[in-house]
Amino acid sequence: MPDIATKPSTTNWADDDDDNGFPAPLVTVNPDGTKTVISYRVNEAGKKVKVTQKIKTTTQKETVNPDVAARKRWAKFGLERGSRPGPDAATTSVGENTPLKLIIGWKESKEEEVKVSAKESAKAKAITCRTCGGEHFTSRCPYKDRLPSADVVVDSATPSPRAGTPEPAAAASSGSSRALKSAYVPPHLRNRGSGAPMGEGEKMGGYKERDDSTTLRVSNIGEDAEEHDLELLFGRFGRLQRIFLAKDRDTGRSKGFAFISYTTIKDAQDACNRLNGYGFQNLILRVEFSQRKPNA
Amino acid sequence: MRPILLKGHERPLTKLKYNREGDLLFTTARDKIVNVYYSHNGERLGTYMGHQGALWDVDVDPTSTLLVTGAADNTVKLWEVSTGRCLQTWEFNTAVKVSTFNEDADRLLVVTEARMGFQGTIHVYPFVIDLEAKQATEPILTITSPENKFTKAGFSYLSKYIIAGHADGSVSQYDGKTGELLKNVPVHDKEITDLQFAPDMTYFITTSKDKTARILDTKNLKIMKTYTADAPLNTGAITPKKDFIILGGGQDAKDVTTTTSRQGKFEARFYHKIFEDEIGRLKGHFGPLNHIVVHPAGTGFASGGEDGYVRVHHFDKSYYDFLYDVERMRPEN
Repeated sequence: MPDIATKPSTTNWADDDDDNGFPAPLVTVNPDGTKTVISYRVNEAGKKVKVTQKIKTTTQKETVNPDVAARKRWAKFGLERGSRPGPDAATTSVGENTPLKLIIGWKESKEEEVKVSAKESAKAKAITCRTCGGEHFTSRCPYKDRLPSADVVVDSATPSPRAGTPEPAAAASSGSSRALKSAYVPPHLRNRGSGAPMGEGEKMGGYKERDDSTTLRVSNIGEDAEEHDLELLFGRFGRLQRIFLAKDRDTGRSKGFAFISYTTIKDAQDACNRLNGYGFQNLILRVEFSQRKPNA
Repeated sequence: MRPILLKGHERPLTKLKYNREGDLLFTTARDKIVNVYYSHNGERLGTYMGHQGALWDVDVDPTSTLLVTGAADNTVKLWEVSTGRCLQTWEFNTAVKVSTFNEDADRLLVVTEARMGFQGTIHVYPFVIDLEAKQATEPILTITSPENKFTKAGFSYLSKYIIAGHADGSVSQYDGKTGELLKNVPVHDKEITDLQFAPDMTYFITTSKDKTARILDTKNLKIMKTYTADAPLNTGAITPKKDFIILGGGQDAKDVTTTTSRQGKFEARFYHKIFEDEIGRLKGHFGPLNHIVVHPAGTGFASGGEDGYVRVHHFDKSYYDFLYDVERMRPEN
């Protein structure tokens, strides 16, 4: 590019601290047009070293249309009147590197992706609720509390039918139904009998214990976003403890919100202040401190 | 590719124009100023100030001496490119949508909008490339289209025809000297948003809100190629050197806030000109792309968006290396 400075630098950066008694660099011009520069400096180990550099200078000539060259010397005018030469940061900046990958059949590859996800979602349609028979997971059933779960029926029925062999050893090892080898007990039915009197169940992954004071809820994220992108963006403000990006079960794409935990509240507050309203992948992020649902 | 971002405008971009050598890039937006930048490094050379309304079009003569701009303040202004001085003003009854030269800039073509009882009109003025000359103020030719308003228009090769795009998606061919309507061909289902000629002007590309772009040949108005996109298109450009088409668009600005980024589709789309396949997309803009122009030497392109930014791209090696297998097998000659 023509605007790159081609002026040969006269001072060598290595000579910056040459006030310790070294002779000035010795420059000799060789018969083949190259230059040999001999200089001295102190290396990292504190020893004096002699540096011999052989420099070959080549001049690259670029032919420019004379009209274009003349236009480069035009004085600035209008709002730019009197501005210094060179791009002004107020009007010109360099964007992020966006790779352009040209691929034959670009569209087909995308369409295939859509087809696969359609297949997957068809698979997901096969899900039936064991409580009400609807097309959702049993745990998400809206009638969970009102209708008796089918599991309860199965539970009580297990000892008797099947092949008529009640597996005495397993039943003996522990009294609770949980220890029955063959019968799977869904989490919401565990801990019955021993712990809480009715339906307390087992909570997933210690959800209650987690400290949410350093967690930010980020919403309005683009569907193309990945955890890695968020890590890059939010990692600038401090050490991250955890990133959770909600993804669609079928397509694997972002659902548009995420939780980001920092190690300190200060970092979280900083990130919240700086990134709320930040433009990220065509959308404007909404960042707030995560608030737990009151009834959870 | 690392684009250069130009932010000289405060409103959505409407038109970009490279001069013949491609070293200068002129931009207009819905604010009142025209900017000119050096295209190689994005340095702003100056601004042309004097219009009182949104600018719709800009064109520069082949010697980069004179600049002509058309605006919604019902005027066309003539500027000295090197100083930003306004030399002359033409006044019209309605907003000016197009102001463009023919190949040699001995004709100036102006399209005014149909509004307030006035019909959409193409005005043609004689023109001379001379800073001192007083340009003609009386048109030598006017063409009206009472029931079908013009959206875009331009002179074909040798100024033989005037090609005009209409709001109903059809394209008309007028005789360049007499203004007689020679042909009118339905091309698109919706309004034509852009009409750009190939470098030799024997064919041109039209884009439309009906999500397609088409290449027509100038002489017969025959549809040669069709490119289908998944969003309304605002602009399309033909690349010299490589057989590509760059299309830009995205859904209407008024619908943007109600949808997610994926539905926005604010990307520059690359199609192969011959095979009509989409071969890639380039992200960047924050809103629909309003105009795309390709550097006359085919070394880069610039896009202007509804977001008020201009992005100037210089193609890297992978762009030039891209070939179809059949192209690779083509014998060298």
